Amino acid sequence: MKTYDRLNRILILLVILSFVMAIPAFAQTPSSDPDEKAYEEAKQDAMGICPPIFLRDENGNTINPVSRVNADVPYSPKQTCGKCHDYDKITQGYHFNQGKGEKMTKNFAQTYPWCTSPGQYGGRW
Amino acid sequence: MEIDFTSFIFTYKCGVCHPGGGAAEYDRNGNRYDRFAADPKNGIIPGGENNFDGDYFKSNWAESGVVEADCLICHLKDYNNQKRKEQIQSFNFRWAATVGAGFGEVEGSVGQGEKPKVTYDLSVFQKDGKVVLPVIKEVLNENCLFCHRESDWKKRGSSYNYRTDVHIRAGLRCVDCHLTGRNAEDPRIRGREEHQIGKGDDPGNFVRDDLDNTMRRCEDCHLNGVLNAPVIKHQDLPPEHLTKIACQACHIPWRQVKAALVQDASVFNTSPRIKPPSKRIWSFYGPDIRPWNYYGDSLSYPEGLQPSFQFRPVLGWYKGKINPLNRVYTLWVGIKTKGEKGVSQPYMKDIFMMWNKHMADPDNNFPQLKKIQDDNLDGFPEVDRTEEINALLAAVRLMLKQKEDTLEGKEVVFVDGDRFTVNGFEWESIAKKPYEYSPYGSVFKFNHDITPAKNALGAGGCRDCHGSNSDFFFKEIMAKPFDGQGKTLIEKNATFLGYSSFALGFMTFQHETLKPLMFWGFLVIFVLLIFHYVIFGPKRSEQSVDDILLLRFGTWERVIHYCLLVLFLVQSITGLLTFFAIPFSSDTIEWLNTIHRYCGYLFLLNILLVFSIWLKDVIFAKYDWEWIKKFGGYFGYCDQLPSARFNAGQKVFLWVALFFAIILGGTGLTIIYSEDSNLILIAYCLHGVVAFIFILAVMVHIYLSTLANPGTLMGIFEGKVSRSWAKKHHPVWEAINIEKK
Repeated sequence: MKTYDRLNRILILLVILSFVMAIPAFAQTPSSDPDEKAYEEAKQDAMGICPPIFLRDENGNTINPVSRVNADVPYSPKQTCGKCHDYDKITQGYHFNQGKGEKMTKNFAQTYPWCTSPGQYGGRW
Repeated sequence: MEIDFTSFIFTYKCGVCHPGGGAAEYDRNGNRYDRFAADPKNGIIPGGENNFDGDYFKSNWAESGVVEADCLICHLKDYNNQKRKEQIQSFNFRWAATVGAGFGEVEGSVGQGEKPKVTYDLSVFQKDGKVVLPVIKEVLNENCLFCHRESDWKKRGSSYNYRTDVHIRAGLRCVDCHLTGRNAEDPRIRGREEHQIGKGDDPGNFVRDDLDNTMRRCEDCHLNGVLNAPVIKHQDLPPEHLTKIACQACHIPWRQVKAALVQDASVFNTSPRIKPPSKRIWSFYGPDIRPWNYYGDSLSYPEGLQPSFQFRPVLGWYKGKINPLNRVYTLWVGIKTKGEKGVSQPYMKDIFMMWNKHMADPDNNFPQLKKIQDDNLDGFPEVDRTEEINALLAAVRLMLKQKEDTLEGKEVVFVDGDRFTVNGFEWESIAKKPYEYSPYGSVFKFNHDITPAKNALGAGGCRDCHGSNSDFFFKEIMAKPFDGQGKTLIEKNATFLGYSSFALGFMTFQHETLKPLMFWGFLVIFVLLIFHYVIFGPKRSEQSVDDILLLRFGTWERVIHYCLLVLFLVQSITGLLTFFAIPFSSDTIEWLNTIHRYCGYLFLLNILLVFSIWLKDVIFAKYDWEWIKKFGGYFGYCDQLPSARFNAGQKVFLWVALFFAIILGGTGLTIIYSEDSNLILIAYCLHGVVAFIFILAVMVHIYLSTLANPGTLMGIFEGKVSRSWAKKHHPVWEAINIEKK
């Protein structure tokens, strides 16, 4: 009986220890390590097209006109499309920035003294 | 103090085409406009001066919101760009994307002091409240043309139309050439979700010049057959054309709709249907240097159906290649700060108000402006004469004074192209690039609206460009719109390209005269030689019983002569094939040119060698004159004529051959190595002329060495001739040789 009790106690201890060691795995939040990002991207590529999505407002809140939740505010492309797509990376494109933040050449700066960027904010007719 | 064009006004006016994000979303410090303005601790007052911060001056960001980058403006078929525009023009920046995508309707306008209300269209949503978006990854042409159709017409002259562009007719999409994302081939822009759209290289744009030429090039498709593009062979086109001339120069021989040539900001445009009225400060002239109501036309014609206007584009050098260009000539009033480079300008709205007031009461408001007349009676006034220039400058100075603008250290100037003046008669130049009218006038390359290959320049032969009436060089282009008397100054396109009339004379002679002359010349000489043989027959020597053989030419002499013969044949054949543009592909012509070049070096070397070994034999003697007087006996004279190893005719031929070889070598080296385009044109012509005469001379030489003088060939191939032959043709040489024996 003593042996049986000891075995039981050891078994229970092992179960508790296993549970304790498993807690970090359960509690794990989505990490941003490169492998995970690549996997997310692979899943998106596999989908190929946009799945059905909720529109979201500027604050990221869901817009649901069917159930009349938040249905009086305009949708935000940044919060809606930006849930899956890298808005910051995309808007680095020159169609969006049009010279914003670009350094001017010395000749450009001297010829168009009122300009602070090479974008089409005036300069040439 | 005021600011004429703030970020808020930019978003309002220009956001109708700009897709959002960037300066329509964030200020220069990276703050989102509406949140920064709404935060009380930043102290932004709606409509207030806000420390004259251009991002917040007289703005209302907190109410209007910002224009975020709107993905669906590009990626959604049937996106309603017109409705988006209407929202932006109501200052409903935050609501524009909702309406454009067709998710719902918006009532109310921030611009009217209202709070907009959105009503979503439930038919767009699933039962669970989600939307299913038919998003298109590769943007449709229609979406690109929301913005690019109108903006690319005025000065770029683009039509993007089935009627005008062979690529659109073939079903190509904008994104087939302007690749982006993972479709891009250039590593500078290739990548997942990269939105640096592949672009060309426009002289008039300076945004992200580091990404120039990231789009597909013509060669990418038309050499490799990508997208089933026809693979070009450029038959009978010498390859140097491809290194010096851009594809567009030949494949856009005509433009089909207007592009503005002159933008005159010095007068007031009273043409109808110009909106908004402030645009009346710009008057445009078309490629025909006649007034063009661009704004009226753009409102009057349905999208994509610009009125037809056919013209030849100006051709100019850009980065080492000839391209079709649209250069905009500008006339305007500027402000020059003493000691600083560059010329700035007064606020355009002030110029507009000045003219507006004058038009309302010309006698009392800026009456000086009445002096500006339409001197050339083309329908638009122009500031051209000194009196008119001074009148305009005086009016602007008065306007600035009335606004209490200080001009300390500054001058009001009139800018006419690449020069400016303060008084109408002393001018100062403005540094510019060679292809510009002025650094303040844009230059665009024509890249779109390509014509079919069969209509390209050169499809009709070399004279499409190299003929004396070709538009490529000889069409008239504008040098200045007004010469001080209201008349236009004209120059030839060749002058703009840097070609002189003198050099072009050689070019047109080569293509219009020399080519047909060569063809007929060879034929005529051939026929004349036949006639000669038939009429006069060969000069036969009288054979005797003791006819011994004499050594005529040693082994080394014969070998050098064989080499010369072969090299001359190679040069003649390769030269004539490329000269007459036999329809080989460009690659084959390049191959022929390469042979011609390297054999040319050998030929020159060889002829110098020939001359060096026969120099002593080609010195003229007194008796040679008798040979010349009797034409060598080839026109009936039968008796012996004095002649040493070489007769007078052969001596002349050798000297001429040397002279011609030196000219051919010199002109050949000029063609290969010179950077002077005029010199190259002259060299090509001289090379052709001399080669022509040389070939004719060699034809006669071959005739005389074979049919006309039997027994001669034996001398050059076996090295020996009979004594009787020597006595007949070279008696002096025969006597010397017999004496030696």
